[in-house]
Amino acid sequence: MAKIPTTLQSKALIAKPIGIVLPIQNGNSGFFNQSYDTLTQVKNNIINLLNTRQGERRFQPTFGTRLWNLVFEQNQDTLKEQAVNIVSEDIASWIPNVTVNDITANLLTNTQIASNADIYMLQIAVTFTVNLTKQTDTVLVTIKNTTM
Amino acid sequence: MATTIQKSFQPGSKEVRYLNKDFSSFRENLINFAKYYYPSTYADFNDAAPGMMFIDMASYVGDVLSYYTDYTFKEGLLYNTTERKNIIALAKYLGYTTSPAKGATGTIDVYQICPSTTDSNGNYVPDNNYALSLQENMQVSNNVGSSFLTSTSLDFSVNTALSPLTSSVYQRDSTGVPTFFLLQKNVNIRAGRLVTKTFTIGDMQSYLDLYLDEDNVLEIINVTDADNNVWHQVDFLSQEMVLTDIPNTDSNQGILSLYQGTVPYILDYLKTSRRFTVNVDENNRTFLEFGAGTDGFADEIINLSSQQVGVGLSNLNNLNLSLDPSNFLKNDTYGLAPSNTTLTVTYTVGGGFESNSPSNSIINIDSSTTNNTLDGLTPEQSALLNTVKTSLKVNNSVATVGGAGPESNDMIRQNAIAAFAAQNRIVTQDDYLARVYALPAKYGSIAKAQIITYNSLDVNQNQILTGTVDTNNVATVDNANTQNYFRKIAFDRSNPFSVNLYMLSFDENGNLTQANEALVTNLLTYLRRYRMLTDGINVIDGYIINIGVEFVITAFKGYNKKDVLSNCITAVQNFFAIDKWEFSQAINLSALKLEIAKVDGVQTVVSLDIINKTPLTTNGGNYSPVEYDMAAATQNDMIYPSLDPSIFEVKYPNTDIQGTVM
Repeated sequence: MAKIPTTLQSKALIAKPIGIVLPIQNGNSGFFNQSYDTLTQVKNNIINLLNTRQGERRFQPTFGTRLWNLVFEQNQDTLKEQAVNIVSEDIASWIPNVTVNDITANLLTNTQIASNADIYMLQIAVTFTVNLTKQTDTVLVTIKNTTM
Repeated sequence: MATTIQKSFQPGSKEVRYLNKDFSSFRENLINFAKYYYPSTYADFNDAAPGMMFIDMASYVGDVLSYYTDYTFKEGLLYNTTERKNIIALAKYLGYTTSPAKGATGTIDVYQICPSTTDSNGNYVPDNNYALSLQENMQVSNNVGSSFLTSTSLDFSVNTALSPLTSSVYQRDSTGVPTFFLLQKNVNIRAGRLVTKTFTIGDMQSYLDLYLDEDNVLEIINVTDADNNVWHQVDFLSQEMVLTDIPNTDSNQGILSLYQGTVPYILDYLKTSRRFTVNVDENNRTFLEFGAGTDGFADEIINLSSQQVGVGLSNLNNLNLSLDPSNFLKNDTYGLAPSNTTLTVTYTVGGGFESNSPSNSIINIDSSTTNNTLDGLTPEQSALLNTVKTSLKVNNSVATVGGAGPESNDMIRQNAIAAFAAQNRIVTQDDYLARVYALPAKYGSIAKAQIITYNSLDVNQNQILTGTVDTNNVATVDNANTQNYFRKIAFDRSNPFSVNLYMLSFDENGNLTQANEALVTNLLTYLRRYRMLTDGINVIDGYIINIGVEFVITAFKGYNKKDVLSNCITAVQNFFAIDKWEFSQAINLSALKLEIAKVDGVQTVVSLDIINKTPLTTNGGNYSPVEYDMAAATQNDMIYPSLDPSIFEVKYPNTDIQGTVM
């Protein structure tokens, strides 16, 4: 078996940081805590996208999700379908390197959450696959009035 | 433990652009920068990546900074600036101060009734003892609230061509004898009403700003302090010289007081440390800015000399000192700052479009001050004078015009550029002419002027003098010569760059005459402030060539020959109206014939002759002594004037124009 040159060995062992993970905080190398694998980074990107309202990002007014507009919608039967459609379209638009496998939206009431919490919340669960690595994971995002 | 990352930026390996302007270009370059220099530190450049948020934020800051850099630069250019505050500041830098409003101007008829008396011939005439003498700034108004002030004083006892008086019988007694006359005179008015505001000033404060309440201030009339010291308005605070009026009286002006009738004031320079500038802010509020408070010399009337310009300057050791010819007496002390006193500011407010008042609308007298006193009058005379005073009426037979609101930003720009181009000084011949004609009337009336920039006179004196030049161009110094057979001259200096200013004035009948010494003195003082330092000015009387017109016409049948002839004479009178004539203007005989031929009823112009009128040819008539060979000067139906500036004048249009109908 051919021997791997020492320099290549060391390069392969050292994982390269990809991006910054949420929540933003100090990391072990450099200023911020960073991700070292694609799945983690994509997951953070989806969280970042779904937590950003359209118009919130400076000079990128279309970046973000329209999900937050649902807070002011009437709580009717089609609300969940609307949320699923919006998340699906926004992820396809801004994170094209993933495939969304499933999106579920659940309305939580005060009987399902801890005491003293909000009465109504919308929980979005996005199950996705990274196109490059074929890895799959799920992201949970909760929309409630205090996060507006 | 923090890790130090060593990075070397290799010249030429990656372009670092400093010309990015907007978010996109900043963002693109930051991404490229990170990809090139930090490939092992950051790799996710998806828009949704949290790290991209920082690149977006940095790009945003860059975009905003670029915007403000551009904006700051833009606001520093007069043509591009949009903020009114900056436009006003830049205009001020170019020497132009905007005005919050413009007031309309016009003329009003002023009426009074006047008791009659008899003259030495027994004719009934107005009694001048009851002719009112009104001070300037009489306030009048229309019925919609626009106020106006008279620009000059008005004396009903004076009747001259420049200030004519119209009188008619106003009332007769039962026997038909006139008991009262109605007197009427005209006076110029300008929009505005007088406002007085006092400011209590405490401790000295350099560059004190005093804001006036109104946003339509038209003019600062005067500023005085508690000790009755007058504070003078200047263009800029380093200007310590102001022009001031001195009444042309026997005690003040000596020989010049001979001409006090036509030149009531003599101009002079006053050196003062009590001065202020007038400024307008972006909200059209007017404020006065006073000096730094570092000098305090007494006010002093001075004549400009090398002592004043050279060794008199406190900063003479600066040999590269630039001397502004519009004001070369200045220093770096910026005048006094008022302290522990009360300043009384009198100013006018008003104007605007609403001051454009239609005819016959200005009929109210709000306030007036007369010089007529009751001293020495009997109770009956006092009562009569009071009756006369209450009879004062006004009316504007012509609409007032020129009123406007605050200048728009574009107007300020254009006016500032014009002011900068003019530089408030005289350089070209047109500058000289404009400035000569701009001499305020109270310093004398200039009828005609012409500038020739080369000095054709053989004069070697190098001091200020007056004298005469005879027909052979031989100059004689004579400071007291009043004969009109010679041309009076005033040489500022012997200077190869001298300009010759030929001018004439109007006499009391509106005819051309030579300017008197008082007028010349005022003019030289006035021009001195504006002329270039190296310019010399020779003021010389222009030649007056008095002429008469004789013509013969034939008339069509069916026309009244007398009417046709009268109309022809009127046409010729209009042709030679002195307002239409300038120095060195030739007589176009063809045009004159055409004017006559255009009169209704004229069939042909048989002959047309222009005759030189002199005391010799008219047996001692009161004409100009200048004899001019009209035949020699006539070529191709044009009568050319002399090379030495002269002007044709029909002195007596009613008698010097004669026509015949065949």
